[in-house]
Amino acid sequence: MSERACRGCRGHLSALLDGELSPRRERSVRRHLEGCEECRGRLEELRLVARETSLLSEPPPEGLESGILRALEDGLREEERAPSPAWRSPLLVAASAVVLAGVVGLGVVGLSELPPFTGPTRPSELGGPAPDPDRGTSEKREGEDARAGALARGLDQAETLAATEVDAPDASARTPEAQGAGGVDSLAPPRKASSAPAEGESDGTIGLREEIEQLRRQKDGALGGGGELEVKRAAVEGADEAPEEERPAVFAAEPSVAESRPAPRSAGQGAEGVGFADGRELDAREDAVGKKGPAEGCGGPPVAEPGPGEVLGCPAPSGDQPVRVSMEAVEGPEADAVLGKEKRDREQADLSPRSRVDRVGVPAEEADQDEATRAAGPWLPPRPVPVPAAAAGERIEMVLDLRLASDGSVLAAEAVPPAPEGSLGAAVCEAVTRWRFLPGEGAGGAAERTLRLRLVLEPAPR
Amino acid sequence: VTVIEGILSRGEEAAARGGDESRLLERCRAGDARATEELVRLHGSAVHRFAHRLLGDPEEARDLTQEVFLRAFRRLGSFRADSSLRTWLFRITLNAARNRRRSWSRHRRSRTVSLEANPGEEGQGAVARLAHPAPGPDRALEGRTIRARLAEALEELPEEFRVAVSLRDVEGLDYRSIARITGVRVGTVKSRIGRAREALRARLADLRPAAREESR
Repeated sequence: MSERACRGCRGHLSALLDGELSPRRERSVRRHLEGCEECRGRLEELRLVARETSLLSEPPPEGLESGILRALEDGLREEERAPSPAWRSPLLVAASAVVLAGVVGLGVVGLSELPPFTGPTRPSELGGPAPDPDRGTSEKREGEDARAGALARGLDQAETLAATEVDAPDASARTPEAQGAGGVDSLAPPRKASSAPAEGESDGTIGLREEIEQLRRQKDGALGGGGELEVKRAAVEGADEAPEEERPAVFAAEPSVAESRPAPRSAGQGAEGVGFADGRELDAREDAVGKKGPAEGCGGPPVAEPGPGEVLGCPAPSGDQPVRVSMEAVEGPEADAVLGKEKRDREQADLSPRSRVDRVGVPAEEADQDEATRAAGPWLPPRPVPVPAAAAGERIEMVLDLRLASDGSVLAAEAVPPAPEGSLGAAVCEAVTRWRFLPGEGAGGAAERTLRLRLVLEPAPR
Repeated sequence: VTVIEGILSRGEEAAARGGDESRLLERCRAGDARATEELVRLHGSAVHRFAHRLLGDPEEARDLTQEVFLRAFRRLGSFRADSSLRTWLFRITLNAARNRRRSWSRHRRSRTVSLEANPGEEGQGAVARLAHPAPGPDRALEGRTIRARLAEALEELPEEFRVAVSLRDVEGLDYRSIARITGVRVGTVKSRIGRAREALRARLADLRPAAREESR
């Protein structure tokens, strides 16, 4: 038997054992086996390995089942008592209400726990306007009234989120008209915030809302009035009409090994590499939160061509807290096809999951055309992913069910379990609907697809 | 070629249950305690076994198993009958285990073994490492020793390979179910299982003559 034939045969021996070869392939493999003693020997050895492996099962430990049942009972009972996971807590709802009002975005303010907030959420840290007295006030209050302080941060974060809204157009796209647009009530509670679960008394929620209002007024005053968030939202909405290539990517490359420095990134070209871990998972970092147009007072003079470390004209903040967004397809037969193609050769060539670094963030059109690149490895949403600057210091994990159109756009996103209206979870869902995944495969693209995605937002290691 | 026949035909036990399964789930959703017990009895040890394979520690696995069932019960409503319950539970297990490990190894990068440094060149990379025979010319190794070495070798495989091969050989799942659980294609499953078995085979290479004896 020729060596080539043997090599061809050996790749299928294992699947032959499992009865997983196509009838045609099975016939040809068996034909080869009849005349090749060596391959038969190989098959036998594999069979032995498989059999031995199948005997490896250990008996279950004692009390396993009763332990599970107890855990179920405790866990489910506990849930009845306090049915809010961290990301659904009413306080977060209050914070995300602000976020929602500002822009579609993500945000976490650990109001209940008040973790030290290290993110560069204040314009001053972004190289923005000099700290204003009101801000100082709100900082003082932080010490005395944690909740109010956190709310202040919530506002700051909402503002930052407005600034980081990923679909925001290039600064140049923001016209004075856009700034003029928009009303003052942008900070009003989101549409159905009232349906959000209220922990304890309901006036707690109202109180929060009032505080938000109050803080907003202070802020408006400090910023010269006019509802800056609204301006940004208008600008962001305008972004939807902006041509694709003008949309900046927020992902920066994270080399699989490098941990220390946020990678440089360039805006406007729409694509940057992202380090993949484990094929379907993305580790991206948001190294700077500023995405404000210079016109909106990110402080420094407008920068036409942002350099490394700068995002859309805002100098990179110094004490930034990068956020890592990782995601993983949990379910859906097409998970590969949606999140990325796993190329056989890749599987052959390199098995270390950390070694896969691939480009992402390529505009969808380019992805459509560039089959070669597309086949080169896992892909991620070609469109920028909203990165919650506000998530700094906080880890959010949620599972989302997505319905994707054939072009890769998201028709619907729903949290599992469903997120109440107005919650942070709902804000995340809404943000995700702006993502763009790989288009469906095949001529004309596949029909609608579903995808279950686990999403983790957390502070990236420095 | 007769050896091929009748191998590992255990199949997916869970698949046979079909209707029973959905009835059981219905009852669980309705809060029937006996149905819950039944479900735990049917799948508890398999989930534990898989968790053990993933985490390498039986106590840790016990903990994870509880977590998996809790997660599953919270989401019973989202279970779709297009996969078997066991497949679904395994998927939850895999994800929960990954989560756990992610938080463990956030600071220390987990060691990854490349199965082969250069594809095609045998005797390189992990295959070589796995294949190095333990000292001792002993041919008459007991089954237990083989198994111990196999278990050890399995543990040393990169996770995706270990998962694929144990879902196949230990749990008896078909490639399609494995693909569902791991979120990769059937072709990838096939290649992972094949390569994992190759690596294990190489590890047990010194037992070859004995192996031949036995299979006759």
